[in-house]
Amino acid sequence: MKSAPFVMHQAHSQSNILDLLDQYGEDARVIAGGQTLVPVLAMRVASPDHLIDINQVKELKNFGITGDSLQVGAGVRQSELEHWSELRKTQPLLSMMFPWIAHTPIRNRGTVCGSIAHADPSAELVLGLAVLEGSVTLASKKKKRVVQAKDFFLGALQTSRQSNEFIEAVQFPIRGPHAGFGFAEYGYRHGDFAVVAVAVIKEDDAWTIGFGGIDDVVRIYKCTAISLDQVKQFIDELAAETEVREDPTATSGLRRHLMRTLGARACQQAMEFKSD
Amino acid sequence: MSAYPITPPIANGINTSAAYGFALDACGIEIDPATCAAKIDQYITVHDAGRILNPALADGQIYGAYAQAVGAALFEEFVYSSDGNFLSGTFADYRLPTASDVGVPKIYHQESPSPFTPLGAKGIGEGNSMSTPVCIANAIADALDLENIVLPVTPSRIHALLVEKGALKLDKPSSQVSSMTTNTDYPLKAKGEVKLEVLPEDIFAVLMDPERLKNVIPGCESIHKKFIANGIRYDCIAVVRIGIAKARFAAQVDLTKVQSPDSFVLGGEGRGPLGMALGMGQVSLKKEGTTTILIYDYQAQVSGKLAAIGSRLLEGAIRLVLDQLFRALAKEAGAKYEGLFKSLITKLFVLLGMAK
Repeated sequence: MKSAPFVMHQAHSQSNILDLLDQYGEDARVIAGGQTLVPVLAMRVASPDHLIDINQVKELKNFGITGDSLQVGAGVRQSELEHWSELRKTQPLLSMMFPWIAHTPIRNRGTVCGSIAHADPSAELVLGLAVLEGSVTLASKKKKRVVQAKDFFLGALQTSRQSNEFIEAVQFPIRGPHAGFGFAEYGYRHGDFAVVAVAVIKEDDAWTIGFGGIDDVVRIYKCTAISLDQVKQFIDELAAETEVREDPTATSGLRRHLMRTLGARACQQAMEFKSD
Repeated sequence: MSAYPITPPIANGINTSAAYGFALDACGIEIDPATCAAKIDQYITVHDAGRILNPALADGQIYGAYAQAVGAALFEEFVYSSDGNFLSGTFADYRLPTASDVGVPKIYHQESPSPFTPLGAKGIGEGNSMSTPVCIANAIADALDLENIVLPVTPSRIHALLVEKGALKLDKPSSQVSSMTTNTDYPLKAKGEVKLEVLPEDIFAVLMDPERLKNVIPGCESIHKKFIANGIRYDCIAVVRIGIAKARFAAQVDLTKVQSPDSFVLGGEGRGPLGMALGMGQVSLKKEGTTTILIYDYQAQVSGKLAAIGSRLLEGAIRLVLDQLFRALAKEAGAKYEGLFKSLITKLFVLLGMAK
């Protein structure tokens, strides 16, 4: 199939993007890498009247450390961040996740902010932003606001972005030098959506464990544990008690099982983690 | 074969070939206890195709048929909902194996020329699409010590088999079961109650007034009221948004058996380019001081392209649309909005079994 007709706007500056969004709102979609948008346009699942291409806006292509966060602009490709020499040092969790995000050609075009905007509960970057307790900077013609990840992701593909707002950047907070990180995922084939993905951050006895793929949003749990056995016990009970999805992709039983096995694997990784 | 029969020998039997090829397969399968996934470690396939006329083409037939067979044995499946909708209609849901999933089988040839063909050739086309699924199923049956294996042997199936054997923990079933996997006419069911800080009369006032109802239905563009046999019918056009998707639906909503201000039956159907939705339910309003307890019990089904695309995400999206509806109803009826908003969502989610 071919996409329904639309008007393409080549934005030349951020203020131009905000003007266009203010004017067209719900009828417009921002396009950066187009790795989700183009297929759904072709299937006519989405048929916006206006597309706003932000690829020519140079100021959006920046990323770097701002305060105590890694800030990534709307135009930054996933592979640019993946191959950044400082990534492993500043954001070890993201560097563990990148090889699991789709495939190389998709990461070469797809943007970090685009993945956050799409808010797929199985997406690695969505899990990363949620478990690191990061935030999203939303700009509109009238104001700018910073929304915490937990308030940004409302449900499957649903975010608190208003139709006139533009995701200018996302912020991934940098953890202290003693933090340990772990990540494990299972998908049926390489590059598939995660059936279950687990991200773990350990700071002394405090553990933050995030699960993607089990529900409409990423689920984050915290516990205090002094040993690997204790944290495994916590995950075991979590897997038994939490509501998880059951759908044609996977049974709830398999998802609970993966929470336990992948959870244990990611926790072990976080325990043995050595920073560069 | 002593001589080849020219006429069909037995009842319903037809001898389709003068010279049959033979194949023998053996494989080593590894089942990862952590993920319940089966992986092919080694695959050996031996063919007797008589005299091989073109070795490259013969091997090509084997590689091709083998790849198809691995797909059939471990990945590919046509999934239909109970109402007949095709659910694995995209390559995200209908999984084909990739090169790294298929691997390379070891091929051996045993050439025993046929006495019935001029060059001694037999057949070799697509032999592995028959032998390989059986071989993989047998290996898995052996590994798990079971007799019956249903193909494709997906991790969900292996997990279920391991639970049945007592090798893995039996967890409580999920209450968040997708409508795609249940077997009823109206697969999506929701039942529960919400507390609204307005009187039942206020809610009824909204339900009877198309102008005010327009503010309640998410994305409502137009609405017309008319009287039908035992109630009211609203014809409306609404734009439904589910994440990136947006579609205009023409919906017909019937309010029947209206017993103001206590209860009514809410039925409806919506049609749009992305599919069709049908729903039916009973709504009762119970007065409690200055508040109303809204009790609902409804069933719905979704079909068409909407149901076939991204089955993984559809359910959650429907819940969000319903959530919008309740929020808007409370607001329009004049409920104190601040604070209620959050508790309403939380409660709704609890009722739908999504949170606790």
